[in-house]
Amino acid sequence: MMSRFSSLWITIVIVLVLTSCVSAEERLNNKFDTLPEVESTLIYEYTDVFSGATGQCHGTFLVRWFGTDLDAETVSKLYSDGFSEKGWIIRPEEVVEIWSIEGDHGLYRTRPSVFVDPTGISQEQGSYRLPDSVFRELPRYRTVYLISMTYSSSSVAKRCFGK
Amino acid sequence: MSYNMWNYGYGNPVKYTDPTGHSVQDPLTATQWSLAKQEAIRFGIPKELVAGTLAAEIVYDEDFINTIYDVSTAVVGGIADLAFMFRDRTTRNLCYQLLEGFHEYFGLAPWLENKGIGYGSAPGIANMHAGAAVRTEEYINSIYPDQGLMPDLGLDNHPGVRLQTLLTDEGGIRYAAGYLRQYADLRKGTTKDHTNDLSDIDMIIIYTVYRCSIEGCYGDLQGFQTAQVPAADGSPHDFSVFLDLYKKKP
Repeated sequence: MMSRFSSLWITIVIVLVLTSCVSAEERLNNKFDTLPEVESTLIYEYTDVFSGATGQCHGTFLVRWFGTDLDAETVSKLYSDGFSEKGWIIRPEEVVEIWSIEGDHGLYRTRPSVFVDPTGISQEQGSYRLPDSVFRELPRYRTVYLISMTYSSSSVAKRCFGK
Repeated sequence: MSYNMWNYGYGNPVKYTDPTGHSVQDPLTATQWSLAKQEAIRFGIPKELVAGTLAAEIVYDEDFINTIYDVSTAVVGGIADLAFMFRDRTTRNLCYQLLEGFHEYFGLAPWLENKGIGYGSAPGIANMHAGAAVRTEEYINSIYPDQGLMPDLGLDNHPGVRLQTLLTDEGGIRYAAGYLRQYADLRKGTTKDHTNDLSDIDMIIIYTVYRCSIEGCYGDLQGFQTAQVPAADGSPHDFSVFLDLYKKKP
């Protein structure tokens, strides 16, 4: 009787946990919706998990490539101003300009990269490769930029990034 | 960062005695040092980059507990099997998050790689991440196809095969060297030998990527390539103490 009762509780807990959590990818998509709005066209999107060889710092990242007729300086300013207004910060220990914000369940980090010359963009992007069709499309725009955003759970973020 | 590389005996006085609090003992055995040197030559990168990275890994990364290997794999495997009874991606990602907790605690989740998520670490000397190992194989085999640099495992093999290789000093160090070579190529934008063209700063940046990946540390490839100055606050970004140690070795 006790055993059956315990099994029922375990099943209930598992079902509750499985149905109540939000995926990392969904969190990133939701967070992207809160970013500053800039008039541009979404060219390419890529998502994957990231991890160094040691596995200590890991999470999920989402990259979106955009093309626009705006100049690079305007794009950069729109994002910088927008991030500040929405509570994102650049922590002093960052090696490069990465904006961070803490959410309910983890840490989000994002970085806009703006290209003045779209013809100089590398097709190899480290952990992924831009498809040929996307790569050919880049020079059509005056300015190309990408927004990369990572999400790490609170426990990983604390261990990896110190907060 | 929560680490302090200047802690007494690197925070582990049992493994690394430091009577004066100022000296540094070599964490690598003679065999490991020899393998590090051998693989550095094979992959055309400085020996102190490979040896220093491995040494830092041994000193800093104390999360893997070898004795519970069997227990952890059974637990993680069971959850993964349960998780993948649910076929929609949202639920899978949810299970992946649940497994993060186990990964954090046990430091091992090879089944996720088997399920196509590319996740899970392995406890070799280099503590080479299983997913990172696959990407290293893909990169080295595509860029340097005729040089026989990586173990002949084949990408279709069960992750357990790769894991067994990563568990050995020879396999783990070779994969680590391959991983470092991949980022040396990206860092310098060329596929030539890097033995003589990497500066200390280049090596520290590559070492940082080894620990937390391009996306984790720099946001994207552009961030990685524009990062000229590593953190100067004594964080693990700076492994100059290891560089100094291994530069003095023959």
